[in-house]
Amino acid sequence: MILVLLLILPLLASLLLFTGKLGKHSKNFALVASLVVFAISLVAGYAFTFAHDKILTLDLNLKELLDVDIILKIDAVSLVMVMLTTLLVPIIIASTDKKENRTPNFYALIMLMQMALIGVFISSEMILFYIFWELALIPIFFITALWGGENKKKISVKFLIYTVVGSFVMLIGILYLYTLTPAPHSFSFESFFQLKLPYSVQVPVFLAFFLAFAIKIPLFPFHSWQAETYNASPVQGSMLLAGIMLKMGLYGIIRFILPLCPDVVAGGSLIFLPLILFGVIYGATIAITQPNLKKLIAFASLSHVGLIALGLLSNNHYGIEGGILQLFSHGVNVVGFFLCYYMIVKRTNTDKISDLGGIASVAPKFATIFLIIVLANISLPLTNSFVGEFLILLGLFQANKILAIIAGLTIILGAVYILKMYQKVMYGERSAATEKFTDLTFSEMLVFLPIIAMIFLVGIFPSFILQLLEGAVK
Amino acid sequence: MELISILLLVFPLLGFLTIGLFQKQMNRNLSGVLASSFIFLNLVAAAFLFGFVTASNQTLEVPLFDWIKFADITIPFALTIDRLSALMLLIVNGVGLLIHLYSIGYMKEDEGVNRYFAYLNLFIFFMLTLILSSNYLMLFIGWEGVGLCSYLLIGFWFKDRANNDAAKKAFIMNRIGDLGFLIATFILFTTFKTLSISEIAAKASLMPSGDLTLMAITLCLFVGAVGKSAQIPLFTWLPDAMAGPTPVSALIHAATMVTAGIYLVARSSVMFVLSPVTMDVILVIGTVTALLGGLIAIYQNDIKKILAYSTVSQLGFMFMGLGLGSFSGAMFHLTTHAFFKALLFLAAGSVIHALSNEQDIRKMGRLRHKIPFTFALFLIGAIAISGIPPFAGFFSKEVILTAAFEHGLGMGLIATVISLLTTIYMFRLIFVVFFKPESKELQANHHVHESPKVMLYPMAVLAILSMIAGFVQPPKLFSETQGFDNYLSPVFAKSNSLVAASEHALTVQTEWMIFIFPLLIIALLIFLSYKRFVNNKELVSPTGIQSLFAHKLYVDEIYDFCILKPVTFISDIFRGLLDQTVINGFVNAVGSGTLFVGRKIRLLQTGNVGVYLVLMVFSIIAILFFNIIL
Amino acid sequence: METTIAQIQTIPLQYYILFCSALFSIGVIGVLAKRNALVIFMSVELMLNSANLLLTAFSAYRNDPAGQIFVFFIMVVAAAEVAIGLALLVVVYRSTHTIDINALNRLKW
Repeated sequence: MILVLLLILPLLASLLLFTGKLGKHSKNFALVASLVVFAISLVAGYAFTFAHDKILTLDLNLKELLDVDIILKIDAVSLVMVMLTTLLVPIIIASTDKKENRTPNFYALIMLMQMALIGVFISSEMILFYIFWELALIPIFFITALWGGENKKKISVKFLIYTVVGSFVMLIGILYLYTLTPAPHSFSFESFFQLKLPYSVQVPVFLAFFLAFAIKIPLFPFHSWQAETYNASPVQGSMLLAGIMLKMGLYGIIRFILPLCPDVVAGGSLIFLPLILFGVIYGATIAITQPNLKKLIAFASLSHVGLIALGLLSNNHYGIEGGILQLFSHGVNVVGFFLCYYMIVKRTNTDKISDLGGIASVAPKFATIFLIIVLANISLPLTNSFVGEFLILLGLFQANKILAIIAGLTIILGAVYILKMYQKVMYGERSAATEKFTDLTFSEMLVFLPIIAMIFLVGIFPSFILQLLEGAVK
Repeated sequence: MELISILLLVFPLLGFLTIGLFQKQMNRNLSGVLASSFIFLNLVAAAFLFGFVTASNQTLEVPLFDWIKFADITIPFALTIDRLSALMLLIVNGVGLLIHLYSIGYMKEDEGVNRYFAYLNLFIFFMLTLILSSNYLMLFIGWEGVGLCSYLLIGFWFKDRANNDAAKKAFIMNRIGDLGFLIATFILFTTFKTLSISEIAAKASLMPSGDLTLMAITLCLFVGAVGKSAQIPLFTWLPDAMAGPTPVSALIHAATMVTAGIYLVARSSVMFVLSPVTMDVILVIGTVTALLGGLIAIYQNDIKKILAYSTVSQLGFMFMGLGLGSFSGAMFHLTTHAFFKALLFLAAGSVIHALSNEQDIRKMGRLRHKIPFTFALFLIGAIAISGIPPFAGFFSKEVILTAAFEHGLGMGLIATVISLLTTIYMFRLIFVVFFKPESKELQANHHVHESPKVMLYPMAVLAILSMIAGFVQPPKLFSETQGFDNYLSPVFAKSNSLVAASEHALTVQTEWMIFIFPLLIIALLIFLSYKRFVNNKELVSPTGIQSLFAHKLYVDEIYDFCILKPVTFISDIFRGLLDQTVINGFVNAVGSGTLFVGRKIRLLQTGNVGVYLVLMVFSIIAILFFNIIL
Repeated sequence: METTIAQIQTIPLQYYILFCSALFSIGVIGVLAKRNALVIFMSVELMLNSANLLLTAFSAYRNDPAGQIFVFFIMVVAAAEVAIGLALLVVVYRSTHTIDINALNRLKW
């Protein structure tokens, strides 16, 4: 029941907003709706911890009617993802500024996106999964194409087509697996996971799924849509993209590649792990000389999610648990980063790093918050990302020592580009653009509050997430 | 007792939060007093713990709660207090308190004074976390935390670009060392399935000497120590870090943070003792650093830079002690060094304050008449650091020198030379600043004034400590009471038991030689320096090899060329060539390729029905053909 | 019946095939090469009838009535097709006043 609510509520909210009757109150309505969804997800989490078999399932047997089941299921991993989504969407909605005067459609699209994302994470049946997967693309396409920056139409089309190509390959993989399930064929996850695929079958399945996820996450070399799309998208769009949509790809790895193709993951690691590792270093290196702040965040994000992928594919439980924890942390951190970016751009109208400077001398509150978020992004101990990164590197180390040592370079490179950016933007003398920088207002600080709270809470008490995941990871 | 140890962490954190959150509202004078009170409470607590641990010879374990726990990995937040940590607690809280008090006077005029004290308290918090933690990962929290605080404090006056660059450099160099530390934790966990320091020590003591895994672990830990304690090759951040306020330099870079590396090695003594290769590496690096640091210090002209390179050199000396197996000797020197180096830095701050922020010694002179108290304190510090009895430096240096001679004559001589370098640069400093005839700039300055009492009293305390602290362990020549060694013996018992007795026990004659000979040379050096620096009017600019040292061996420039430029270059290449042109180009080419093909294909749509008919007929024929033939 | 079949069989089968192929090819060329829509229709009819003829010939030679039955099917289809085709032609003529197929060239790229 709760599961259906989780899906229906955002859908209803979005439909209501589409009608446009709410006018000026759209933003508040969307905010309230998303907070209600958040509350429901908390209830779901509560129910989950007390459920006997640690899984909440809803199985609507519509097989006769539609020839497909609708099965929704939450296990620990899905729960973490759903909580991330429902936590971040209210923050994203709250961050839109009154002055921007967005039409109700904007909020409607965000709510629709939320529904699609939750659907991806809780569906337990391949066709349903695929529908939600594709559905999630549509709102973000419109958000970018209608409210974006320069070149928005072209870039959003490129993004759409690129992602769809990957999804299409995945669809072929899904259909192929469908034919392999024992008759009567079924699309449910259960039946898929019960297939014990021989190695020769695992390889094409792995490649098919992995391509789709590699484009989505993104992993080098399928990342070229990312920087441009983040740049062209409005800030809320980028937050949705970076904070949650990315995680769909990583979730896909956990959900499909690990159970279905274990031998490929174990055996082929020397082939794809170095490639992903290269992407990690690549992203971090580019970020060092990136003059545009939004693109810097994009490349930093590329580096971080590559690291998460490395952890997930390292074939031991430290890496996997660390990866899932880091999924959550990265979502929070990157949204925080974009929020700070938004604060700067709102006031100075520029996102070139060289145009900015000296903000700390006039806005100490913002300087502190920005510093905390920046340090969380480079995994300072006591912040949320440290635990995840430590576990990922530990897991990677157990898989292949040399790769782990090279991956460790990211902590150095991360410090380099982040501190270089922070110093230029916040310290030094004020520049022409930042002359009139005002410090954060109370409402803006409120939006930051949950992010800062999550940074420290998860940094100091990660165990509640980690123990939750223990069973699922096994 | 457990509660007291938890309070040690709570108080500074509380101080940081209260002062930090109410920065704007708080009264400027209040923040300093508040911060100092918290540290004072800490000192009291530390004294309690010290007494307890000394008397009962127990190790106190205080588990707090589990930090990371799932499957087979459990890493708790837990505290361990034994004699080693109790000693460090006293040093950190004691010297920290004195520096807090001093800062009340030094930072009075500064507008960011509240922020300053918040950061100082935070720093103490992280340092204590480092000292008190019972497992390597929690230690790492403190480790990185003090790195963060030094970033914040070095770059405290952030309007100035040079300060920010120095802060950034410190943090990044620290991080390079941190990577070594992290790798060590990975190997540790993979080998021992735990990160608890005591458990690892127990398990490691069962392993054979020269074991490769232990060697890897200890080398990686040492890399971390090299970054944090500014040894070669990661030392260039320390002199640059002088950009921060002088009390910051005193606290972080003389007395506490840089000693974290030494503490780490001492803590893991069991593993290090079982890895002779690593010990040799430590010895070599420590020696080279000590030599180079001392040599560079002789040719510097900024009062704080001289002290900074002196710190680098003294830290090298401490690492030499560690490498020679004299763990308690290194800790002894750490303690005495904390006192006199902090004293020297604070006194330097006093000089700078007196001259309204002048730091170049060539622009000073004859100050012993104008600021007599500061002069006296500075002199005490200089005598202590040069190793002149009966001040503290002599005793701690003796222990390490003895260990060096026990290792071999050559080692002993090198160590002696290093000690003597100290005399040269310190007394050059003393004579130029306090004795030489005034420089022109100084004569124009009429506002030379002595520092306020709130700055002088802490320095006086440090001076007294620098004078008497050595007597806990006189050289074996004179007395059998080896107080320091005895105190720490339970801590190092296991590691000492794993090492064979040293090969060359020293004869009494040798010991007397070690005692007398350097003293004679010190006296000679002081005399020569006096003649050289006081009588000459101008300080000559160094030439030749000396210029090499004056320019700090061009290390910064080398790093810039070998590391910074290539990285920036690669970054540009990645960004411009690889990302834009190749990858993005490829993707866009797919798109434009598709468009191109489409454009060509649409030419088939001629609109002419006849053409369509022809195409249709030919297609049917082709299909039939292929179906029948093939 | 037998006499008809016997009479048909006096001409060897190859001649029938050759003859129908020739007719069919003439029809094809007519469809492809002519511009007058009516002539194209007639050529299509020619093709269909050639097929009919061949079918009957085969039906006679193999003594299988199925061929002749199929001829009826083809005739029906031909009739229907002619009806619709001519109707379309009338409509086209009303808009363009010509039955030249090259006049219908607006569906180009």
